[in-house]
Amino acid sequence: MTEADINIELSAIDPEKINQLQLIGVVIEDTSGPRIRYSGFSFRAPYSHAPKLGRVCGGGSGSGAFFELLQKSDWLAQTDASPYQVAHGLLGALINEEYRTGKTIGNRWGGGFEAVTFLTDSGRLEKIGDILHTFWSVREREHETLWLLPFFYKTAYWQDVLILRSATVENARGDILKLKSDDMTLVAPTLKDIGDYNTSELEQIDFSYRAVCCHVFIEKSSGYDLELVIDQRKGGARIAISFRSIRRALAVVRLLAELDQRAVEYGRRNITSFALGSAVTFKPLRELGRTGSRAAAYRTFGGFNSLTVVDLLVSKLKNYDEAPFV
Amino acid sequence: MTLIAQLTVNDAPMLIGDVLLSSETITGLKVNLPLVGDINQILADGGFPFEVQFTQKINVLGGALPLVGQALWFKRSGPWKSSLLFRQERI
Repeated sequence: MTEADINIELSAIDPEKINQLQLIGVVIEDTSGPRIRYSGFSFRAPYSHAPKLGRVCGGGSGSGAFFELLQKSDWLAQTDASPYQVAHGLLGALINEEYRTGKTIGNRWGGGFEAVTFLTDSGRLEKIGDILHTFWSVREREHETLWLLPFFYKTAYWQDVLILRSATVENARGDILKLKSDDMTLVAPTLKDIGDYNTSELEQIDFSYRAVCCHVFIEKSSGYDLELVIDQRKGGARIAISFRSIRRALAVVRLLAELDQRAVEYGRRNITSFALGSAVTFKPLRELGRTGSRAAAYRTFGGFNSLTVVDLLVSKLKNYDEAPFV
Repeated sequence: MTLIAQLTVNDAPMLIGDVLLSSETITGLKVNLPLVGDINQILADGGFPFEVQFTQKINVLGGALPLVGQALWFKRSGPWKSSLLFRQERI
């Protein structure tokens, strides 16, 4: 199948019978060379221009907001960002947009997001999964007020089913936490239904992740903001988090302990850069921010120094033994 | 309605899509949005005249053709071996 084949099909559509179709796609033509060769096509989907990315094709009621988001995403200017990193960043930014504005569903878009790209490591198209979203709270100019909110949201894939996994933890009494909610939503591909799958084969989906997005609620004198900070790991590196085994231990401490354990594995050379920086380079976070290295703090909109937020997060992570989250 | 997009990163193609599928038909179907709850109940309480459910909109065909779309009926009229049928949705 070629782009020409598809265009023939699209041009054969009877506009009297089908007048509300928007379609975007790419045809992968050759992956044997150093660069993938492909062609794109679209049907009734407009184009926009985004910094660094160039021409972007979008459709649907959310496309306008997406185009605006791209204009504000200055982290896209990183010259060495891989397709995986950009996909992960955009997925985080879209979730951030959904929770920050609360307007996406009312405008009939959102609910969850997917990205597919060609990964040179595997040499194939892959949907981007194993992304954990954590939620934090801080008051502007009161950095000591930073809190890790006990909400966790992860996207993953089982076969070709998208899994939206979430959990919330609450204080039962004293320092005893209990699981308040533990939910999983399965989203089937087009033309399929979850009933088509033997879900008894689905094993427990924990909160292990390959990449984590930290959404930081910022209480400002003028209202609220929601900053996005992203940590990305080298392909294959995962951190396991499970809520099933939690009893007395705080869920957040378990999460932090896992982070710390990983830091120990890496020699604890620089836990700060590990925790929210790069597990590979161990460069100081500020340096990462300046150089735009593999891992970085991404700022999705202005008004707050995202590196300051990252420093705060890192500081809390580093000292959690002495000052545990409550 | 929906969000679909295609962009290029370091010469590699990328497709982005949401999962929301809206409908004017009110069925009372419970759809949980993570960390939010039953989104259809929230929509009903807010006076929104539609319901939603979830479906993937990015499809990889034959391992080589990623496709996103919000479509009505995609009519077979050419040489494809199989036709594509998308769920009906207003845009």
